[in-house]
Amino acid sequence: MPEGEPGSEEQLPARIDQLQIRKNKLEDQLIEKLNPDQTHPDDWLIATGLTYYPDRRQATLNDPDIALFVRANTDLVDSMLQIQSDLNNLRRELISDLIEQRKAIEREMLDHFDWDGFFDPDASSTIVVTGCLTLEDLSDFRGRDPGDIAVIDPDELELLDHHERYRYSRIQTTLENMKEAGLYAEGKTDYHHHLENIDLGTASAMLASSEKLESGINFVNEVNRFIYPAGRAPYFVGEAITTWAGRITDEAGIPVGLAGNETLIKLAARRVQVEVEKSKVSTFFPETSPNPEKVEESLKRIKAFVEETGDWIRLSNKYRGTSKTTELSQKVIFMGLAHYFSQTGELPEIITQNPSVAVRVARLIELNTEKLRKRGVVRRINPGHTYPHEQCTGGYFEGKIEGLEIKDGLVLVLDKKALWERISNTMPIFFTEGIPSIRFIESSDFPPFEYRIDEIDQALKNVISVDIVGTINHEIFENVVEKLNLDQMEAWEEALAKDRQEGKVEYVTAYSRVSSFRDPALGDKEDLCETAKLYFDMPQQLRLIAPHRHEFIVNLIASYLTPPLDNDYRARNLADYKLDPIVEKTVTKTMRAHEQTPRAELENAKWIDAGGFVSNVSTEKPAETEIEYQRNEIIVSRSPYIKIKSQ
Amino acid sequence: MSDLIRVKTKETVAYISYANDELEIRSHNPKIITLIDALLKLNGQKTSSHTLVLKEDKNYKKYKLTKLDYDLLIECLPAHNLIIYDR
Repeated sequence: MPEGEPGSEEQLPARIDQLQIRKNKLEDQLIEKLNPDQTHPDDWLIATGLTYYPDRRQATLNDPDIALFVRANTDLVDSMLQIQSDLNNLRRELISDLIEQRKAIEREMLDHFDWDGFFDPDASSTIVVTGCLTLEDLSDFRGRDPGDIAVIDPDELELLDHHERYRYSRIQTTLENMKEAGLYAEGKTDYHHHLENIDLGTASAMLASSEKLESGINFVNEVNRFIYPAGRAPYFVGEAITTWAGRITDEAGIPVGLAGNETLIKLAARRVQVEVEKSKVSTFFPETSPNPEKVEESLKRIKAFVEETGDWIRLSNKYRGTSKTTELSQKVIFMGLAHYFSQTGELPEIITQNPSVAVRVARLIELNTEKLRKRGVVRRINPGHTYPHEQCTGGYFEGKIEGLEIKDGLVLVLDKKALWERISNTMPIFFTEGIPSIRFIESSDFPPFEYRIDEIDQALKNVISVDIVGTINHEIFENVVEKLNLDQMEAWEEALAKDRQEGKVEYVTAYSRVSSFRDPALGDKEDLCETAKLYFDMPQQLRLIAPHRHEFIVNLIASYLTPPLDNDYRARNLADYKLDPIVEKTVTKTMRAHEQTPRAELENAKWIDAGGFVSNVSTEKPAETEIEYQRNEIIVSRSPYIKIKSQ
Repeated sequence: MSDLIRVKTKETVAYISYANDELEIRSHNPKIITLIDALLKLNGQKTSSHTLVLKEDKNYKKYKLTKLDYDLLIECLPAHNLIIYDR
């Protein structure tokens, strides 16, 4: 194989291509050796074209054409990784002079920057206009602190405004350019929405690549035929450039952002152009002739997978308002497939007509299904152990409880310890994970009630505290809904449907019924939370009015108990019981009361939430194999106090 | 719409009647009247309605109350161990 001289800019791309071809061949050999049907996922390494972490025995799977699962004991791995390492080094060499150029431009930009016009040079705050320079460079620059994030004092908000206005004007310009080029059609795409939300880097990238946009679009369309429905191509050109820019900076080991780095953007745009020219879908899926049976089986597998992920997307959208792309985006391809499939009901031609593609896609699906199964995106295999056995109930709420302080002239109905115990003793840890705190706030909508001192006793405190705990239980289940997997969401849907078919209440409380007027999907979600609230307050009555929903909650809780506690819990809570016949007679009527309430009356009431579930807490970075959860705080507006009325 | 129910706790009993947007509670035990009063207030805050007391003495309380707030009261009684004995 001819060797290019490292460092020679003309020969480097050719050398990289040669190495890539060698690597592709090795990968093909690896695929032949790998038998996914007989290999346990724990035995696998993941090697990708970009990254390999030997310590973690896995890597990010960010390059669909070359990402592979390989067995740890495969002797080809080392050679492949060596080639990959060479490739990375050469790529760094290829861009090193460009990095220097960019630094020069940025230095020039910084020299022209009117520092003194913006703030006191002695101030401790740090403003960095660009992220390309290394930290050392920045610390040298006019003696300022290093960093690549602008830290703005309140007094300097004007500066932030200035930056935002600049960013917005750049985006607007991009939009105008797109419109002129006939690439943007208002109302026909959600491109505008994306543009409003993307960063300057992407917008600039689009500008930088505008002259090449047409060929870029051809490339993206080619990919879209496989992955995305048509109509969103321009956005993905920008996204592709941003992604490439990110890769380039990763490879070069430079801690940079994108905004303002025109050289980087141009560099990235160039890399995309290289892809445009050399990448056709066929290179992702080289032509071979797999046997027809395998192709047929692959097509079946793809179809089943697409249908299943389609279910997941539908239910997740219904209950959470989002399909949680972070969980599904192990391969964006899957979502694209599901999306495409859900629109046309058929697999894209590129799959059905190209046997080689079908086999490759099926293999990708096979390899990723196990991860998605762990995450609950697709069904778990053994229905006998539908959910993970995690923790038994008892003493596990780890969040903070704030705002239950003793105050003069006010009687506290529920102290921290009592609340903590009531949550911990009934909830598996899974339910409250992701809730950093339960915070009581003072709200003018919920002032404390006033009673005379002789009226205040434990019974009165209990009435209020039961209401508060009920509200909190509802909010905790808002958290649970965020985490339900496909099996669980389907089990809930089934319970709901069965109850309704059997003539039980449509919604268990007035609140979930009134929510359904706004949106039936919201009604079903709120009904789950209200069902849980009733389960903890009055399980037997709940069982009378909504037996399948009751059973769903029992099973959900039991599924997080360690055997044999799970069966005990089920047996205990689903056992036959004797309710006083008179009570039984009246309960059904009582709890159906809201169903007879005229809709107008329910709607006319100005409903105010006594509790809220707010995502003002940062998202926790998950470990790679875990599901990413937003951390949500519970805020309780309902006052936990009784005011003592003067006699 | 009119309704009459008997509500029991372990110790005592109360009679609740509802007709013409008026709710009456009677009991020998003032405590149970206070408990139901608190429930009305709790629900009233959520629906932004004000429970207007029309008349009261030690063993009796009369409110102006919408049908919705009455239904909400009935709905939540079992959660507070106030058992509706008959209706």
